Amino acid sequence: MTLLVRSFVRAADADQFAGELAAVRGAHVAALATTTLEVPTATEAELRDHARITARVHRQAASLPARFGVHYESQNALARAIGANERRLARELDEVGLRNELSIILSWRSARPRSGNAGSRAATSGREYLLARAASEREKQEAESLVARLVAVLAGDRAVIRQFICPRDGVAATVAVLTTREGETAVRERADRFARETDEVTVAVYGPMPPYSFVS
Amino acid sequence: MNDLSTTEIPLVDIIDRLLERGVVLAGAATISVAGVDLVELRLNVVLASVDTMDRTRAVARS
Repeated sequence: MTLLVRSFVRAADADQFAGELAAVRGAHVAALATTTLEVPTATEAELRDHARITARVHRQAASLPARFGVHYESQNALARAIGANERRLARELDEVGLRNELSIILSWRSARPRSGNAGSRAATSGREYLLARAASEREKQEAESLVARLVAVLAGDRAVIRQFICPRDGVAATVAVLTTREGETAVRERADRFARETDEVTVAVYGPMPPYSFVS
Repeated sequence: MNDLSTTEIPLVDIIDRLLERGVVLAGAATISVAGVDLVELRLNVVLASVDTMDRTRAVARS
């Protein structure tokens, strides 16, 4: 038997998920897990299932989403792991357990020479390598400037925003915003304003999601 | 000037989020894609996806 961990909730909240998820309790924090026979595999179906389950838990209670694939072979092993991490989990539940994450993705409107990690790409000459590296640096600077403008429009505290610059081809940045459930509309409206004022990128807002980017 | 779009989050962003973020406890975790183990964790080793490992290796080589 394998316990695939989905979310962490306050121990007092765990009962409402009985029958749907196995609850393994510490003194203050409980892990909610799916019982499976095999080691989990990160297929698209499994990943979307994990996203659905963590989202459902988060809608019903303060929660922290587990990274996909964290699993234990027994309830005792999971209980020991909770005990060893309980202070941190309880603190994070207090800090972000009731908050949602919105993901804002800024995608370049025009095609760019592939940047990313120029150093990891095969260059046929030193000149090509230097050109690729320069393009990469330019794209990174432009993306950072865009994110700075977005953050100014969001008027948010940087402590509740995490940014990922040039995460892949065609994407200038993904920005994770931690917000209260009541504050989502304001974030969307501000992102909409930024989209209307910006020509370089398209702007997409996804969520709400559990606070994946703000837990450890 | 453009409009804000709100649709279902792309799979690639789900993968980034679910494999690279979220709570990790001390303990064992194995992540597999299509039956191939990517990373095996023991104790407090930080989990990384294949992409993250590739980036890390590229930095280490440069």
